Amino acid sequence: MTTATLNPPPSPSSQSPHTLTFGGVLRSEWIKLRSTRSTNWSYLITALGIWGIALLGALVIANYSDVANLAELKTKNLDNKIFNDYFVSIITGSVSLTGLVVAILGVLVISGEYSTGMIRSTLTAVPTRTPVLVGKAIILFLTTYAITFIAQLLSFPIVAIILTRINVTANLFDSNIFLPLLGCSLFLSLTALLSLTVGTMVRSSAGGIGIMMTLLLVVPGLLFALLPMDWRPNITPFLFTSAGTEIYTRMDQPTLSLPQAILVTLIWNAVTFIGAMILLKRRDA
Amino acid sequence: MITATALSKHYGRKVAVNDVTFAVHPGRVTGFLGPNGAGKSTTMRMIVGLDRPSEGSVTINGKAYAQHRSPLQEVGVLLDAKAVHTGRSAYNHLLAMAATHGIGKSRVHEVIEITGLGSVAKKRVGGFSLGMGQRLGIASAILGDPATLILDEPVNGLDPEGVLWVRNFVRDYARQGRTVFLSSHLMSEMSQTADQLLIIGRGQIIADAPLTDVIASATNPRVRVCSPHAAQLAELLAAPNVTVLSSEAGVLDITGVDSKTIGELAARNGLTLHELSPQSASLEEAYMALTTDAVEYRTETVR
Repeated sequence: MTTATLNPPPSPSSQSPHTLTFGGVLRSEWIKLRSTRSTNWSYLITALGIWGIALLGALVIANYSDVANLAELKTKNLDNKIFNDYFVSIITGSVSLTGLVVAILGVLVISGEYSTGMIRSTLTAVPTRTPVLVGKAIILFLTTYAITFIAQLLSFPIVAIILTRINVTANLFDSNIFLPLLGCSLFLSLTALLSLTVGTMVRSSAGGIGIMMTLLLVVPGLLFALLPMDWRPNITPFLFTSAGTEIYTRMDQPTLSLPQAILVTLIWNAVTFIGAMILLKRRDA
Repeated sequence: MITATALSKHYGRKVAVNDVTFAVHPGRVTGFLGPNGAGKSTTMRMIVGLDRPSEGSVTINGKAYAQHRSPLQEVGVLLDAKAVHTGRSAYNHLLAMAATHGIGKSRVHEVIEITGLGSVAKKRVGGFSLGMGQRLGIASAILGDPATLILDEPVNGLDPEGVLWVRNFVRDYARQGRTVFLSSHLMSEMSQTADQLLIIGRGQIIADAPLTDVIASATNPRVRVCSPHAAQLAELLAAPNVTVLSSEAGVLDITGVDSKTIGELAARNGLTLHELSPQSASLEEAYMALTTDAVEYRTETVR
């Protein structure tokens, strides 16, 4: 105690400028995301999935299309709509696969912290907790968006080169191609985000992945089988997957407009986000 | 300075911490002792806001942990070595922790050097030994050069060099006027490290006093005597409050009378003494005496 009076205790708030900031939390979450194996693997599989399925789709179309029929189509195809749709459906053909991969990634981003105990380090560094979830959400959303969008852009020239063999061409910057590709990345990013918040609520990899797989794979088919015919139009468009699919595939008679489709997926995310936030704040870690 | 006021934590109907009030002061090492399940870890978790108190409150330098603008500079905490993502390298773990507070890479390298993690810093934490994990936990705790250090079982799994390092480190830390609060089940280690003891049992504070006082109050001082006249001496010492035990021929363990009285008695009666030594009780004995009633999970004595 005598030495204590010789060396006055340091007062941390004044001694140095290191304070907890939201920018710092974002940097921290970025470091965490890029320094985890599961993340790198997931994004690699996502990119390979997008390229692989696009390549496969383009080859199938190029080799098995009725060339005579295509030539006829081309003459009628004044605004190039049909060919644009070819490109979009080929490039976004992997969504049912990549959607699952980013869903698993989204769950793991938080459930991995719970299963390893890392969450305790995270929450002692950021005891207000809210910035952790917001930071994770932003980093996960932006990274998923960037990677899936770049992967799709890169697959365009491959698809274009293959389809020139059957004289099917399109311009990447045609809004009928560019916008659906933007929308497809939005759907994939929102899927990752939904998984993050679901994972936060259940705090377990198996539980979170199980719920997301059910939501993405089982529920649409199940409702289709179980719902009475006249109920379907009132319910199925509002499923996360149905609304999400409508963001990047413009059907001739869409059940939801593009803004409506985006809104529905955002509402799904908002509900789980609020739930995750409340539970993260209230529960013991 | 950690201040707990009427702090309680219930898990369902089970009471983990029951209405405890205590203060941990700067400038000394405060040891936190108690049997398994006594509420030590729960208390520490409540201090840093991981667990929400059911009742009461706990503050660090007057504010709840979460209200500090720079939590990692206020408190460094090692709760258990398994608070790290196993798929990440030690360096990246520390970098991610540091980033939240804008702490630079140089400090990350510094704590890696201080804790002797240099050779494994780029390896995945999943492959770490218990001791290496512990060193990483300590590195995380001191990352923000905090004014208060809370360490739950810091020497668990460390090699002797590591144990010595932790002891010197926390003693030096306290000497700088900072607050150190650590738990351990190793009584000999605690008695060499702590100045003050806080003993908890069944969720309640059993003792809160300087180490020396705890030992003195909980045990009777003994005197060991070796003498060829042991039997005679034992007879002379016989009194209602004096206990004489003889574990081997010519050796007596005496409680209830001090060494000075025994020596004088022997001299008056012309008895030869080969040894006359007051035995200071160990912290272990004091701890056992204090917590016998408070042990939650007792090992059944084999008959």
